[in-house]
Amino acid sequence: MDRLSLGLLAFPILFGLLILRVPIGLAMLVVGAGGTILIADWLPVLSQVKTAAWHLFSNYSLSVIPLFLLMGNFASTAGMSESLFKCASAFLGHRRGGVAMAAVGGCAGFGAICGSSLATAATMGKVALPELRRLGYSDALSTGALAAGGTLGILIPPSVILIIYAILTEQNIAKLFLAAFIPGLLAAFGYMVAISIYVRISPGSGPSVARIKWGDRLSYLMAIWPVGLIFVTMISGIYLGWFTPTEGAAVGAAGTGIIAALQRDFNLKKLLEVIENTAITTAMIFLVLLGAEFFNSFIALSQLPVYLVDTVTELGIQPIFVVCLILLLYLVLGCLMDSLAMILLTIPVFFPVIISLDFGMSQEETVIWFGILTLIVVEVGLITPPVGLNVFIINKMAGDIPISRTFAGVLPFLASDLVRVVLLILFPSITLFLLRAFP
Amino acid sequence: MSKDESLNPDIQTISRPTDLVGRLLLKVTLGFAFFGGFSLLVIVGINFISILGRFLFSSPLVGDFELIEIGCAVAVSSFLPLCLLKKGNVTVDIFTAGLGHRSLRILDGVGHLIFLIVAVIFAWRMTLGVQDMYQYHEQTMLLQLPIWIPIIPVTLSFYLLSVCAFYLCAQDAEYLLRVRA
Repeated sequence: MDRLSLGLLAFPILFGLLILRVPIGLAMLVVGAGGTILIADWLPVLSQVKTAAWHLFSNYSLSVIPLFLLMGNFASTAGMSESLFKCASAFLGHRRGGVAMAAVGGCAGFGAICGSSLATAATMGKVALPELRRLGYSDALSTGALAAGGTLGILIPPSVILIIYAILTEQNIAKLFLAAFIPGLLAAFGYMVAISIYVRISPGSGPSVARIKWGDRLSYLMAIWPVGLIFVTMISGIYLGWFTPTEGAAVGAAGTGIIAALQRDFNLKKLLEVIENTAITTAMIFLVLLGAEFFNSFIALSQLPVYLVDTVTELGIQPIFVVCLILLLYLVLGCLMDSLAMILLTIPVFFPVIISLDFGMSQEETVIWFGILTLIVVEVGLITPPVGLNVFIINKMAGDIPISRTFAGVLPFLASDLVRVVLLILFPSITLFLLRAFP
Repeated sequence: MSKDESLNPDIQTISRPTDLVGRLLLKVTLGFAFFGGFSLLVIVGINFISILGRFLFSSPLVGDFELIEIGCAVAVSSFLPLCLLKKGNVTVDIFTAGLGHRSLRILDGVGHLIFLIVAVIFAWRMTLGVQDMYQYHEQTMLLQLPIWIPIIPVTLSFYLLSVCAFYLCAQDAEYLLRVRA
């Protein structure tokens, strides 16, 4: 069998293994190594295994991942979610559906110091869900808003997925973070608009609370300054080149760690819990990365990406159409697969195609724009049935709400996601504005 | 999700071994993970010293990248066994959600067996890798630290990973023999 057919065959085999519950990283590793053995014999694989783990784990660019995860876990224990939610409530609560908007706002704030959607949903959910239900918000709206708000954890930088994308495509992480900023804020704003339309249609679902005086609002605002300080130091420091992304993540981890340590109930047990949670998530991500290493070196060897680029060029498909097709595929895959694995699996194949097309932008801008679009679409998978993880987490937390009602509550937010993706496809300058303004 | 584990939402199914071997393994893997976590905290410290040194005394820490890389490799590898034992690795569950307990256990057993084979091959090849590094005196660029030393804990993690995978396989096999369809 020739290389190309092996490369094409690898995907159904991989999906077969995944369907049989083989862990994603392991499946990629086995299929990748198997394919390489068929093309190039045993020897290259055996020598790759000797040092692959060491080289991957000791990659300086990747060291940012465990540090960002550590930061997020410290932030979860540090009680910042509560002050963020209270502050947002003070400003938005008097509107109809305002407390749900505040939950979204709180998620956006928390997303600025946490790079994971699931962690954001879970942490904010713990604080906001009891409050929303106490105030009489409908089941669908309160769980839907939190599940969707959780995706802001990864849409607003820092973001683990963006880091992986940056490394895969050899882009500057700082530039991607900067580019993600406006689309992230747009997402939070879009979700709030979705809520305000929702409560207009079904007025009983989102009652308002009493307006809070400006003096009190300011005192709530003062309570969240550490979050702002950490975020600004980290992101501006990375962007201005004061320090590397890894150093920025270390600064963030130290900042949230100090705040966590200042909590009255912080003790050794909590520290060990933070480490354990960081450990499990880190290991999970790096196992997928290790598998992707083997899978992608096989895919490169099979020359599938070259073939794909040739085909797309020959067919002369409109570039914008190609992007839409890829994003559509992500939407479908996202319903079934983990977002990180999806990126690792597909970017090495699609990336050469994207940079071979002309979108009327510089190549760097194209890569960044496509990266942000990918990020958003991949994240939508977290709130779509049947495996929207955010939906399950929030639903589990609520305990007594049927899952179908939570999925129904997510629909307005999905609509807002789609509108945003279309806007960002049509107007790349929304994404690239900050990059062009601060070159 | 039990209460103390609810902090980390990235973990979908969490199991806590109840038998003696399992509890012992959990202790060892936790020990590895805490050692890795400590090394992660040291990385945070090194970064800080490096940043402060650069800005306050305009003297960067020589070889900070190398120390961070080594610390990161040690940390990440030491986390792997715990993740396997606590079933933290991502799987696609929806297609098999309707299967019975026994069929699921068969699939998991096959998965653990593949994990075992891969982990053993890694442990074996990496041991040879350590020997290579030792023989060729491979060193880091700036600090000239011999690389074979930090690779030892990384390799050990793969040995522990093999043991954990074997334990999980044995558990699956024992269950399938005990509980007939």
